[in-house]
Amino acid sequence: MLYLLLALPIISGLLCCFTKARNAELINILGSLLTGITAIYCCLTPFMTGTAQKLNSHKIYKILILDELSAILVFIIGVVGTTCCLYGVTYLRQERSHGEIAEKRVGLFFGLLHFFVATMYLAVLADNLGVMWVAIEGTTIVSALLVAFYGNKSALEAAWKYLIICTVGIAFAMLGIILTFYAARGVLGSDEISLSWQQLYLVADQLDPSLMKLAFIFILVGYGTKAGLFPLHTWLPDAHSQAPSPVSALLSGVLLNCAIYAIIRFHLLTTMAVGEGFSGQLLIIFGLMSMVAALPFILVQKDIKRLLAYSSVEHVGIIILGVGLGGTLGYTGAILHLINHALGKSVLFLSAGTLAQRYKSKLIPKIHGIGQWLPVTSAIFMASLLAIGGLPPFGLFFSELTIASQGFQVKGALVGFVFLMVIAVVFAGLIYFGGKMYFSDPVTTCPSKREGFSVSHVLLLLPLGLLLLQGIYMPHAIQQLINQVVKFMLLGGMPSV
Amino acid sequence: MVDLFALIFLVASLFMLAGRSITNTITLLTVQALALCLIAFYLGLSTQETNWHMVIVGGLTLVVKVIILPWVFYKLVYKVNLHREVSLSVGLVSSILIGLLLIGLAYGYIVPVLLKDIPVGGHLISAALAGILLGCFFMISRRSALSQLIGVVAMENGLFLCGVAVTGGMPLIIELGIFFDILVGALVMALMTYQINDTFETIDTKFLNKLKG
Repeated sequence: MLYLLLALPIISGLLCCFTKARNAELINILGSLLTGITAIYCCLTPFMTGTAQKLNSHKIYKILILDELSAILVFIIGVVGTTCCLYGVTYLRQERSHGEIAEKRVGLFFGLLHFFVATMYLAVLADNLGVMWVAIEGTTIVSALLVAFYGNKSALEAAWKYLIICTVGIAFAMLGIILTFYAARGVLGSDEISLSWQQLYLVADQLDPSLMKLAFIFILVGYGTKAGLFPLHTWLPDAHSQAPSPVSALLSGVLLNCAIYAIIRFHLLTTMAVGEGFSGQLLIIFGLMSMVAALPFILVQKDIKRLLAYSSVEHVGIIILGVGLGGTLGYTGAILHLINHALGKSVLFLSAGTLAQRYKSKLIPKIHGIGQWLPVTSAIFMASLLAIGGLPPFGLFFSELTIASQGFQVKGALVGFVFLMVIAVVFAGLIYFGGKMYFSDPVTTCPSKREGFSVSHVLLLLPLGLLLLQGIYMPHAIQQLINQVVKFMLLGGMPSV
Repeated sequence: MVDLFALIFLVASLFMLAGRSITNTITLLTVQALALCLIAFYLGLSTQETNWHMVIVGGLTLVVKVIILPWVFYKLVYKVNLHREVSLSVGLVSSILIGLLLIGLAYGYIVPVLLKDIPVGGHLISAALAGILLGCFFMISRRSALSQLIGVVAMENGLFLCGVAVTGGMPLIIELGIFFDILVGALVMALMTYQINDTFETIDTKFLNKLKG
């Protein structure tokens, strides 16, 4: 089943590359729907059977594996990836009618999009640090081509910076993996098995602590670059703002999460090898730094997609902080926030993309009166903006609250206070920009015909509905699932019984 | 023997910092990769039993890093018409001095102090880490897209040597994956360099400065 999950996007990607635009759209729709359904089915299995992929002490090694933590990521990629692929159809039709993208490149776009999704599935399913590294490096290569898709100056500049910074960054992660391999070799032997997450978790307490500390630092630098943690986030706003909107949504909603997933895994391993404190402390520092550093850029931003990109930096900081704080509350908050941010931010990027497309500009001062011209899209945009800001009926409010309470509990008033202040100020900033765009006079060129309700809006409403539902009423079953994941993380990567 | 090859590797890395001509740099990169390939072959064939893992990895290095990548880079130089010298952001003399400093850092601090838990045989690890640092600095000190691409490959060479030195090579499937990544990555970067040259009419990265804030 897992191999099918990888094969589906690759096959549809290949098909898309070699067909005409019309057929590529069809293949894209079919392929992404099939992939999405398979993903949802797959990610339910470890919860249904409980022992589905349990390996324990047997030295069995599989390349692909699905446990509680990766199931969450597969769910996110499934939902967000499918939404973005489907929304891409409408988006590209618009771009073609504006003459931004040539007819014959449509197939290539969808093909790359599916390859991108496939590499991300491989990154979260791989039960091997090395394969995971290869997959994450693969996501960089494929998505850089997507970022450069428009081929104009700024797109090329963004793509080049993205490619170079992330490739160099991830080289450091490889150093961390080499050190881990060295540490594990004495215990597990020199086959691939000693780089298997499952096996490493079992023998974590026998690994050399000082080597693992060093390895964690390298891993944090490497995957932190990819996740957009503060000092190395510089590629992120460029790439997110220049990419076609469905790609920005994927980058922000899913790709960042894949890198965070790698950090979480390694954090669990390091915690078991070194003891509590070391890696958590580092994560708290970097999480808080990212949050604070994103703040000024959000407040003075003029470009709407850059605004959203910096908001992603802030949210990555929140998630990393939650993981660093640890404990039941910290992990619950982080996992919930991971899901919520992916859902909310992808909707936000997609609707902002439509706005920018209609107004032919990404500058906030030029986008005004969205409420009159595009009532449906702008309503969705404002709703998801409020959601990302952390307004109560949406899920993000609760995940942020959970992390904040853990912050007050574990680290005292200072961490909690800084955390809440940053969120409050960012919220004010987002509302200010949102209000300026929504409650203003429409542009004079605005056609009198208003936008109607269409299929693509349903696509956007689906993730938004999930967010809303989660904030208002969390079904017991889902709560159970989240608890299971948190238990898995608390036990340090051991399958919960 | 291995130490000799490691020395060649190191000297090639250092000399890359000394010149401005891009074709010379590509030649030095090839020398560097050749040293790696010889190390892998030597380690594979010198033991009583032939270590096939090392031989395969050495062969891959030969094909990918000694033949394909330099060929692609040379082609790119001719297509982009870049026979002029690249512009520097750090002067030549100071960049060699910094290069020597980085080598000293790798030999004097990182390996004996930070990595003291790893028993060092020869100076392979130090050379590898110095290679990574020099590759990284090479990227910073040059302001051309092609030089940055070469710097990435030089860093990967250092990483590869590091893997060989610390663990005697990563598992084969991962080694294959890394080679695939480097090959595809370098090709994509080469393609992008080509596009940048088309759009900007230069590959000087100082013109890549429009996006900020």
